[in-house]
Amino acid sequence: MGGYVGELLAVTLIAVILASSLNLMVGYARIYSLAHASMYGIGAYTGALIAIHYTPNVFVVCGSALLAGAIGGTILAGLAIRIRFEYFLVASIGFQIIMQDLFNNLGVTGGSGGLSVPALTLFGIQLTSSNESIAVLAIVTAIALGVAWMVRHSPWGRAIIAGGDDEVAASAFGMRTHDGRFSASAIAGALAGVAGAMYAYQMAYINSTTFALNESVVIMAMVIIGGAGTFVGPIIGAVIVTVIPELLGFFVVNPTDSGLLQTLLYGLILVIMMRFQPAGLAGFFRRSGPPRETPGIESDTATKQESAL
Amino acid sequence: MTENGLVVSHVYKSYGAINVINDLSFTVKEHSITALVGPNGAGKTTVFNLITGTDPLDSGMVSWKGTVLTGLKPYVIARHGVARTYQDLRLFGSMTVRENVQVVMETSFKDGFGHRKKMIRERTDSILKSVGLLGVGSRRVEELSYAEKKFLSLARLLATTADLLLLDEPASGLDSTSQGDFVTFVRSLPTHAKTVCLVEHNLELVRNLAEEVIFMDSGYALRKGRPEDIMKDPELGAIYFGGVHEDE
Ligand SMILES: Nc1ncnc2c1ncn2[C@@H]1O[C@H](COP(=O)(O)OP(=O)(O)O)[C@@H](O)[C@H]1O
Ligand SMILES: [Mg+2]
Repeated sequence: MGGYVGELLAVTLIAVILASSLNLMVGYARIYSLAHASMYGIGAYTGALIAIHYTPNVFVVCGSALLAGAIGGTILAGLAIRIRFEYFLVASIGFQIIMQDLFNNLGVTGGSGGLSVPALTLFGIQLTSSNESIAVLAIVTAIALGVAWMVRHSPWGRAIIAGGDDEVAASAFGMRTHDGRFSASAIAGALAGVAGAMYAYQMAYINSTTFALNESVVIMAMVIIGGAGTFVGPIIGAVIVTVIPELLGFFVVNPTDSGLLQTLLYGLILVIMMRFQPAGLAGFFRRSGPPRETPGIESDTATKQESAL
Repeated sequence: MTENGLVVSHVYKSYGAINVINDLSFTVKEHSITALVGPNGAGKTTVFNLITGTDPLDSGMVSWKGTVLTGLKPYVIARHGVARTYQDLRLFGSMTVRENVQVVMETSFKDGFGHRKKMIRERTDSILKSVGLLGVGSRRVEELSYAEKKFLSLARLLATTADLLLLDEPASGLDSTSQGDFVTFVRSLPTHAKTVCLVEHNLELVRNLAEEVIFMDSGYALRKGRPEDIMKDPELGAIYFGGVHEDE
């Protein structure tokens, strides 16, 4: 598999990792971060530099990108537990911009001139063909989705979600909610870091423009459109947000129009989702409906809500 | 500390310039049911917030079974055997009914592997059954009726290993059938070595359940005694019914 379809598949799989990992923060721990592209960039540069200067061994490259992303995620969590969440959104933009500046201006990153990245190796064999590189990416994506699945379906992950739902109640039931936020953010950073290393490997070239704030916004859009807090939502969102602009590219001849249309379409979709389907596309698959009328409730006092706190 | 049970001793709490709790002292005997009553705004919920560490107290001391809880973090206090419900329930909204119980149990039974998973599944089943929610286990919280939500908040308590249970207006908004179920439920708790302290407006229910009543107003404990004595007191009746809307 090569050429256009191969590249679209690669970009889509990377988007799936990015959206699924951001969902651990946004959908589960409820840390609204617009710094995810910087985690992606940290992993991409770490992976690229390791491959260039040290070894292109796939395990070493992925491992170091993972570690670097995890460190980034941990720093971000440190901010998140100290700052109320609406302010954290702003703080995360600050973090993103600082990292963007570093990517742009540090000597080792090559700035907007970028870095050429060698093909990765497995047991000394170079994985250069597009089939090989897609296979590596598919395996990495499967592992990343496995981690995301575990977070939704393990005791440890449920505690993270409970803490995100209601921090006060979760801690009153003995859960260490700060630990939950740290681990969600560290894992999200680690996965985004690996996605970055995969991007560097797939494209054989990176520069700083890829890991900018608008990419963070696009990843957030994937999560929201697909459905935050679900396993399939971010996957659906990543596929839609990646593939729709490509389809537009087919139908619209003029590339300038395509860019404009794309922006308009994103805006429109986000507004429509927020108004009519805040649970995202995944919400359509969930059984829902108004609460049933059950006996056991006095209608006049049913909605009584005193402010307890 | 030699005293057993729950000890609240000379506690003060103010929010800004408002003194919400004033020199409050009371004790709750182990394996008993004690009711906290008083008009809205008396400070009853605040007392629970101070005991569970949700809010820090300004001065004074709280202990449970001889362990001083004052100054500990909420999750540590929980691990000393204290659990509560909330007036506004505070369920885990993105989870199913079953997961709400499960996540609390998994936190409470951290140690031990092996049959743990099976044990948690079976215990979750039996807890859901005991509050009549087994049939709606896979529903999300938002799909429940108000009464079901209230019983889920009780189920979450049973999922802990806590032996001091603080219930904040657990019966308000329930119809008489559900209230009957609720009374049966709470009555069974002391026989399972649980100690209960509840805030309740329904005085009939308090008379039915509580061995001891603490009457609060403006952050002071005005009277302590048996329910029938407290309810006979005309002075307290005036405070309780005068000007305050009674929801019955
Ligand atoms: N976090 C808070 N900040 C400011 N005032 C509070 C806070 N919590 C409670 N209060 C005030 O303390 C008083 C007692 O409240 P509360 O304990 O909820 O009363 P009750 O539960 O007895 O109805 C009320 O006047 C309330 O406004
Ligand atoms: Mg109250």
